[in-house]
Amino acid sequence: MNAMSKTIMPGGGIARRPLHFIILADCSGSMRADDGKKIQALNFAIAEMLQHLTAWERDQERCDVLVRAIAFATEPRWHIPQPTPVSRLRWMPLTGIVGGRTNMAPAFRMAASVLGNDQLERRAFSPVLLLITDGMPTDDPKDFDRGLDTLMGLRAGREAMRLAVAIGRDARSEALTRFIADPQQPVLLASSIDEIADKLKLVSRIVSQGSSAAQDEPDEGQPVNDFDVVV
Amino acid sequence: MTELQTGDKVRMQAALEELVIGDRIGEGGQGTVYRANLNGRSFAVKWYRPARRPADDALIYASLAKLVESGRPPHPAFIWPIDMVKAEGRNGFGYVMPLMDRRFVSFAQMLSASEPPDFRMLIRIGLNLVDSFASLHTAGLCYRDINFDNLWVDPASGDVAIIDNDNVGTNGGKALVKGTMRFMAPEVMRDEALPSATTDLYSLALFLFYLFFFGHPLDGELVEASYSWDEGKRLTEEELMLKHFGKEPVFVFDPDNPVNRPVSDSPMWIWWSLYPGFFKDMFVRSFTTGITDPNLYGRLVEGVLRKGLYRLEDSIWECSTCTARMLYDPDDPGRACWNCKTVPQPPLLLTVLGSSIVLAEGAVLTGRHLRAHDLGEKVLAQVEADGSFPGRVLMRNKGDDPWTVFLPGEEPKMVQPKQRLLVRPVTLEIARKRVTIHQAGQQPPG
Ligand SMILES: Nc1ncnc2c1ncn2[C@@H]1O[C@H](COP(=O)(O)OP(=O)(O)OP(=O)(O)O)[C@@H](O)[C@H]1O
Repeated sequence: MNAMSKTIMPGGGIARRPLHFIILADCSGSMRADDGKKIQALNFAIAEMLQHLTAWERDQERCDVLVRAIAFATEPRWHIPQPTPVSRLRWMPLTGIVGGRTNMAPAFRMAASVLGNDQLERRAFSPVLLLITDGMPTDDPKDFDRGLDTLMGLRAGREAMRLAVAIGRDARSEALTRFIADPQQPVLLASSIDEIADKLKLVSRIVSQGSSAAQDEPDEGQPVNDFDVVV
Repeated sequence: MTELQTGDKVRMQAALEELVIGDRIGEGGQGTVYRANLNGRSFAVKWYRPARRPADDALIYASLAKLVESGRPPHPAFIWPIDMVKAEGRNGFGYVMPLMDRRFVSFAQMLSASEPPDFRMLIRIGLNLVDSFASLHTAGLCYRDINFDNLWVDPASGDVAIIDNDNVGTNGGKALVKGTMRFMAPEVMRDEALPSATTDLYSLALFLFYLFFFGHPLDGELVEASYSWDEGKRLTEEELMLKHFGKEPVFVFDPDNPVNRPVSDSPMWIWWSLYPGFFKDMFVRSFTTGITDPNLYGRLVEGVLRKGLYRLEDSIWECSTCTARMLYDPDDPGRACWNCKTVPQPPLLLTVLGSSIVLAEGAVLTGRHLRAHDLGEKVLAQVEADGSFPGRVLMRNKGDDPWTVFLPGEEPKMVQPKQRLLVRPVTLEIARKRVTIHQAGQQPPG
């Protein structure tokens, strides 16, 4: 009973489930354009997003956010190979590769290689895949399709929340729309990177926490005014 | 454009004052919350997006206006709507409320901190939650959406803040909001009942379970077994919750049904092993009969929760070997310390009117223990440690009247206000009530 002694309590926080967040970052030669402004924009956007993600993770009780990153150009490579808790992550800036092409299919396959049924923890949430690029894939169109099919052929790939962030003005491409494959989900701009944390909030609301909206229609025979409406 | 921009002005509908919109704070299901300024003072404004059905807008407005009119329930935790606001030349509406103080953090952040609050603080927070919802329910209202986004806490003082009060409505009234699935009463999830004070009580017990046991009371092996990435087998998150939290809920520590115990690495195991039986029994009841009997008889009402928390507060002690925080369970006196695994020396207990307080540093005797209603929660005695008396505790007279200490074969002694008594087995008179101090497990003296 010494006032100086440290309080000994069990620690360890709340039981949470893993949420894998995989970044696919474009490091092709075109990202070097404009004096490297594009690749800087990419690094800046990711670093900012990670801060928002950290804050978001802190204030909810369901998910441990684990981040990995693939840097892709002609070939993809793991930039962050191990699932890393977002709060401990320091983003090491990427650089554009001279003459590097924007081959997305191999990057999709690389992401798919860690999303197989037996690779994800069973209790993991559906992952989040974030593609950040200046938008024009250089893959042979057939190979692009095959790469995307590999990813979408996996349950975790198909059910993932797939987001795309466009760097540069002319970055919205059909490829990004196909990757997202959700008309509700627009291609984001780097300047609106803070929306990603909000989107996760919505995901955790609607998908993870379940819908919080009650029945849309009033019961039959119940005049609307009888509703003690509360939002 | 229905979104507000920094610098926009909105007018309070009753007070007619003008607020200047500042930064966006966050976004919710129905609208966006902004900082706002009125004559140099900060407030928060929630501005609504148009509802999917235009008729709903009028209903939402009317119900918010009702909350403004009825005013905040007596408990200060509620960040209540102050007035409705509108913007000139613009459709839409919102309401202004106090800005939540910066000292408040999310419960998730507090519970995951490297140094989580100790039992005394957890209990204080629990009591604040119970008292705040009691004050809402007593007013005939229900909250409907208890969850980790809406309840905030000051980890230093234990104060709580409750935001998102636009969900509040008349008890049993129909609502556009059913709640947040993980916290919803099973009968609400199954669409068999509407949110009410009774279903709030379930969600409150569930939130308290998180606070004291660091996990979800229905999330165990059965849920784990339902997860799968195999085609055809995987349930969506929503199906999972409906099944395990709505249709087939089984409490993780159901004494009669062990099928849904926490997974082996769950923090719930260690926390469950720490609490006295009477406290755990409250949660057993909440998540067994409280589920099968979804009414005020099955559910724990605030008064019962409050009593349980008070009693838990009186059980706090620490291991005599390693000083880890513990809770004394009179029904399991030989329990080993969770940290060093030794069996601590039994504590000294103060017993009055049938209830006992473990005399560990920080423990208090209040008017409530003496059933002295005129004294209320006033602290009459506080237990202290003092380096000059290693291994002992002292009890300070914090009241206005002296205590009488009766020692066998000696003249009675007095402990004057502000004086301290070196605690040992004795009989005392405090505020005309007979109080005994004795070693746990032994008969009180005389
Ligand atoms: N009075 C306030 N002071 C400070 N921050 C607030 C206040 N009210 C809300 N917020 C913050 O604003 C954000 C949005 O609040 P809001 O209550 O609309 O969210 P929500 O819980 O998602 O809403 P809903 O349940 O209606 O969808 C939240 O992150 C919340 O922390």
